[in-house]
Amino acid sequence: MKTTRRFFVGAAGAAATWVLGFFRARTVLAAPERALDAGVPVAHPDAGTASRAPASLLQLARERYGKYLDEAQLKMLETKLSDSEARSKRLHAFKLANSDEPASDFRPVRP
Amino acid sequence: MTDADLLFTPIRELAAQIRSQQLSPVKLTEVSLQRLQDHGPRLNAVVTLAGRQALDQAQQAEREIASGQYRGLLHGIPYGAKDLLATKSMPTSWGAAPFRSQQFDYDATVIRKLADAGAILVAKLSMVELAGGMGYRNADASFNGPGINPWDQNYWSGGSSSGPGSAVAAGLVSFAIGSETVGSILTPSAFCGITGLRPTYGRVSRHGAMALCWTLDKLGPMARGADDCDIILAVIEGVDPEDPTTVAPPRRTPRMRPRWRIAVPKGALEFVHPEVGRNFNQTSELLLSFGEVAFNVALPEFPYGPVASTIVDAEGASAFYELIESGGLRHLRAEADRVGGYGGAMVPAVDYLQAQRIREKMRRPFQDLFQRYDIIALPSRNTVALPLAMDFNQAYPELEKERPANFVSPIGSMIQAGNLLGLPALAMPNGFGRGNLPTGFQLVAAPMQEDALVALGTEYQRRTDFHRHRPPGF
Repeated sequence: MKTTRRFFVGAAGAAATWVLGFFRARTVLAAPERALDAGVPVAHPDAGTASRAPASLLQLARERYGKYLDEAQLKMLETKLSDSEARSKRLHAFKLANSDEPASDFRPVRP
Repeated sequence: MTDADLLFTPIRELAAQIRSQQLSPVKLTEVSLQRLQDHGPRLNAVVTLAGRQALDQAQQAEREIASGQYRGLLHGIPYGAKDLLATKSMPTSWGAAPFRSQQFDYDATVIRKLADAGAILVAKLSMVELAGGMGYRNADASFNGPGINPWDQNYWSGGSSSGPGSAVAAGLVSFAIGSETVGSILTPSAFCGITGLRPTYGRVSRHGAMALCWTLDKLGPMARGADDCDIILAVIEGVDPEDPTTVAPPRRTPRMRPRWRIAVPKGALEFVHPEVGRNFNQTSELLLSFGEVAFNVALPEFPYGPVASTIVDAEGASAFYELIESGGLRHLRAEADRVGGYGGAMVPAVDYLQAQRIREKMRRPFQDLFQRYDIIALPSRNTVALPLAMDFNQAYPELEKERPANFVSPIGSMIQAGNLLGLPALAMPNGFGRGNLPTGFQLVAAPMQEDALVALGTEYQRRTDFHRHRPPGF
């Protein structure tokens, strides 16, 4: 697809409007990130950590799921994605070696 | 003994009466069905009553026992199953409106094994929709309403095995089968004052159980006492060709050891309800009579919460991808559940794999820990049951307010670590807290060490009577 100047200006404007909306949403809805415990959510050390999802991820979320969600739900989703971003940082702050393999149990032949 | 007393009686005692034909399985089943009908609705505990089919099974059990064909300790005992276990005779709702009429043409392996043992399925019991995998934040997260605690009906029964928790606590069934991904047997057991056993991952077949997270889901018994749980586990465990993650359990010999080595994690009593702390201290005193109790034992340091939640989000979104992509989440009950799955579907693959790689790194430090200790003991939950009327994080603001932002509760960590590592755990009541709601504690052991949990738990319950208390009015 050819990217024209008009397209770029339009996209930048839309992104700016969206980012402002996002910050407003964070002001109103920001809640401590909570680690899942299907029994009961419990706080973990990221509680209160300010983090936000990349604008492109939020844009993608709106494109994929916006049709199913109203504005309040979209704001909840933005909060969820920002929490996921903070969680991602914590996960990747844990140092692993190249040889550290995931817990997986694929077996070419079932017992 | 009144009719209600029957369903508060330990399985071994009921079985002796049934075997000697002093107690009719038909009578016992009728009592259970009647109590489910009378009390189930006000606890939101029941999705489907078995009715005629259960009575037919009970009559068959009675005939078999009369003719000397006694199948074992569960023969003629009525039970309920969390409504995520497939049954060909009843719908299986997964607690969620989009699936309320879902019908399978086969029985889950656990259901089949219990039927083979002569146990009588009297009801499919309520649960948090999709086992809580979409991120619910308050009790009102089941298509048939919040699970209500029989000890105080303004409080939640816990989740996601909410119906099994309240139905067992209220004496509507002799036992129930629940499931746990990250806390869903331990939590309702604690909140409802019953005994719940989370088996080692792979010890019990998941075939026919709703998948939330293939690498975390477990099925286990929720019952009156540790001995009951052991009896049930002996029936439902074992290799199942339909579930390739199942493993052969070791030979069963629950017995007390001369000297137990018990660890209590550091910080286990910080930022808990005072009664939770007080009751656990009393429990610890009793545990001291069983051997050595080491306090302030440091748990290995890992980001348990982020690892567990990443895996649940990603696997849950994969398991329910069709529902998510079709917009079906809008039919769920809880506001947070109508959104959470979309976030789960956007977890990057590298985050999921990072979580699984960290999970693997947890294995060795816990192996080392279990070289030094037989059992880890700590409260099951930080508080008593949560009130129905508010979001979980608003329930006990004094604890939230006091807790430093970087405090990691070893109670939450141990639930997460125990599930990530597939460790067995036994939750038992140990007293009462505010509002006369139950408090509880958990014992956690190395993989396949359920015998140790049962032996210690049975001895604890021989010396205490918390598991015999009944909610007022039941």
